Formats: sequence, C-alpha cells, structure tokens
Amino acid sequence: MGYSVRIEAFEGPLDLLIYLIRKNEMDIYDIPVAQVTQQYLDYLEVLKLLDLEVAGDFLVMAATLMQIKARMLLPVPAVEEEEEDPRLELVRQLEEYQLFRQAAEDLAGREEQYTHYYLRESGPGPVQLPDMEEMVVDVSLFDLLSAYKQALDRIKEEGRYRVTGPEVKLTDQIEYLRGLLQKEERISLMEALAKLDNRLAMVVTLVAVLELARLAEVGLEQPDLYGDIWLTRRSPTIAFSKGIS
Amino acid sequence: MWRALEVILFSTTEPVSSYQIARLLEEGGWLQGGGKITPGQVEKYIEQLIREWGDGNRPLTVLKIAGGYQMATRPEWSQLVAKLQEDKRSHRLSRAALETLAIVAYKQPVIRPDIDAIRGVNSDSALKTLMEKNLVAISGRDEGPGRPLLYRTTPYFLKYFGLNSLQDLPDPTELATLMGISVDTNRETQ
Repeated sequence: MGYSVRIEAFEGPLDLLIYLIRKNEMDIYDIPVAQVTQQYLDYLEVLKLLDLEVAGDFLVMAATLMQIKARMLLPVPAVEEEEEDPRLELVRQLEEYQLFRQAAEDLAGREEQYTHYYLRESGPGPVQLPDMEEMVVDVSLFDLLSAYKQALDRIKEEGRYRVTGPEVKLTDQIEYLRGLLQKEERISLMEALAKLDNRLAMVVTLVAVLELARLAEVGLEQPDLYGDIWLTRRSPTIAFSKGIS
Repeated sequence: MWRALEVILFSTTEPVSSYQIARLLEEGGWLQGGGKITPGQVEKYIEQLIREWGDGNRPLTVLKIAGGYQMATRPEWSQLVAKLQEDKRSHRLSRAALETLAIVAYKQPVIRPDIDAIRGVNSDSALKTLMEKNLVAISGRDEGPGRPLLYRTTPYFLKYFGLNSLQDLPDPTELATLMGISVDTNRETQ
C-alpha cells in the first residue's frame, strides 16, 4: 500500500475494551478474558493490515490482557492463599474511565447549551467592582448571641432541652453545617440551632459558624432587624469530600 | 433601584456577585432613603427580573455563573449575535479534551500521570489545548518525586460551562448510577 490513514476510531485501549465488552454483551464484572484478549488482538491486527498507526498505549494494554489471561490459566496453588482475581484492577480501571467518559459527555451537553448565551466580553473600560474581601460577615456578635438565646428559649419551650448531652466536637459540627449547606444554599441559623437539644451542642455549633465564616465558606446576613440570621454557602475552594478520591 | 440594577448587570464584563451589587447600590445611593440591602435580597430581585423578562418575552436574561451574575442574550437569539460577532464558537471541544477536562475538574489539583492512568492514554496534547483555551491552568507542584505540575480548572471554566461553582458539577455517584455501575467511594489512596 502506498498510503497510510489515521482513524480516530477509539480514544484509547480502554475505549476499545469497553466497546468490545458492550458489543459482546459481556458482564464487566466477569469478563471472559480469553475471548476479549483475542478480539482485542484481532483489532490491532486489522489496524496493522490497514497500515494504521497503533499507539504504544494499545500495545501496553495488549500485554496487560495477556498477562491477566495467563494468571487466570495458572492452576490454583495447593496452599490456601487468597489469590485476588487478576481482572480486578482492570475492572476498576474500566469503571473509573467510564465514569469520566460520562462526566465528559455531561460537560459536552453543557458546553452546547451555554454556547448559545452571549455575555458582554469587553466594555468601554475595566469594570471597577467593590472588593469581595469584607463580604463575609454582615452580622454583629450581639446578633449571634441573641440568636443563640432565642434558639435556647425555643427548645426549652418545646420541652426538648437536655441539661447534659454527649460530647460535641467542633469538627463534627462544622461537618453538620456543611451538610446542611450542601443541600440548600441558604439556611437559617435558628433552624440549624433548633435541631439540637443542649447548650453545649449549640455553643459549639455557633463556634463552627464563626469558623466557617473565617474560612469564607459561609456568608452571614440578617435581612430583618433583629430577625433570623441566614448562612449562605460560598465556595472559594474546591471541596469534594465525597465521591472519587 | 431597578434601573441601577439593570445597568450594573448590563455593564459588567465579569460575573458580579450579589454582595458586590449590594455594595454598589448602597454606595451609589440607589436605595430608597439611603437604606441598605443584603446579598440575599439582591438575589431575590434578580430572580424577579429574570421572571419579568421571561414573561415579557425580552431577549435577555441573567446567568448565575462563577459565583456571580451576568447579563446574557437568550439562546434563541444566538444566531443573530453570532453574525454580529466574528463567531469564535464553532469549535467544540474534542472528546479527548473533554475527558481530560472532566478528570481535572473532579480531581483537582491533579498531576498528568494520574490523568493518563485514568484515560489509558497520553494526555499531553489535550492538556495543552485546554490551557490554550484557558480552561485549565497550572497551580503549583506536587510534593512527590520529580515535583510534577499540578493542574486545576480556571474561573473561565465555570463561565464556559455555565457553572456557578464546582459544586454544580454532577455528583460522581449520580453519574455512576446513571451508567449502572457501582462506585467505591471509600477507595483508599496511596
């Protein structure tokens, strides 16, 4: 052949593997390695026949597949050693890759959607906006203490007050508040305090509020005079405490 | 106050936060009786503005992106605006770029070898493209051997995808259920 062609058919070996697994309707958690390896190598052969470039990554995966196949063919050792399924790492890799492929598709959707909104890119001159630094706390200590007292009165009224309670840790209360803010961007301090039932928990929670304000994770505001205080979620840093680590 | 609010949203070249709008309105004396306004109230007003414009079939709206607000034309009008501007938007990101971007977005700060490990391929050119488009930036070096570069997404990334913050990205576990796979969220890292 006098010409060579580059086809971007598959993004990489994982892409190809997923294609083969789906095409053969295999169970990703119980991959028939021999079969997959054969088909995978067949594909690489086709690429070579068509004089296409086979990236090094594809070859590395080919070697990995053959290694897995070999390990699965070995007889089980006489000694009762817990041999890990040699496919496990591959499955984990495939899972993780699929996850990000899905995330990428999601981003593609958003990209398409937001490409149709046009914003002002430049104006007559640079825009002078107020500093964001002092933004965090719009509430006085007195207001916070009033909120504490009000919440305390409320739970006493409701008869839920306990004189002593279990030990309360600051980190736990910080997480508690973060959890509430995760669900709703804006929460009422009164509500957050009223969910507790003893003084210690409430005091520690108040300190947690101040700590979150210091970290600029939360903004405090009091729209109505002597009214409830609202905590608004801010996100200065990335905080993915759940999900992929 | 309403007029001033519209002018602020119209004039800004970057998303402006509700706090900044509140300060601008207060300082400029745009509030009745020289009063004060809270960011929360600003947000409510903007929501009302968006509703009114929607009801009145106005071609404008306000987007909440990158932690602030900015006025934008509605998608129905994109063809017209594209003609007015030399539209640089015809180039969507490639799959390789999107995959790489997704990994950086969820795992930031992240080093290139880790990105490569997930994709199973070399991500050099994808990262280069993303940095050229200002979607990804270098944010320091990792402590480990070789002190490799760390990558993060940029504020422009949020604007580009219409996200208010990184929290607005879909939850990884939600994505997993969408695909019918199980995800071990307590996996240990080395």
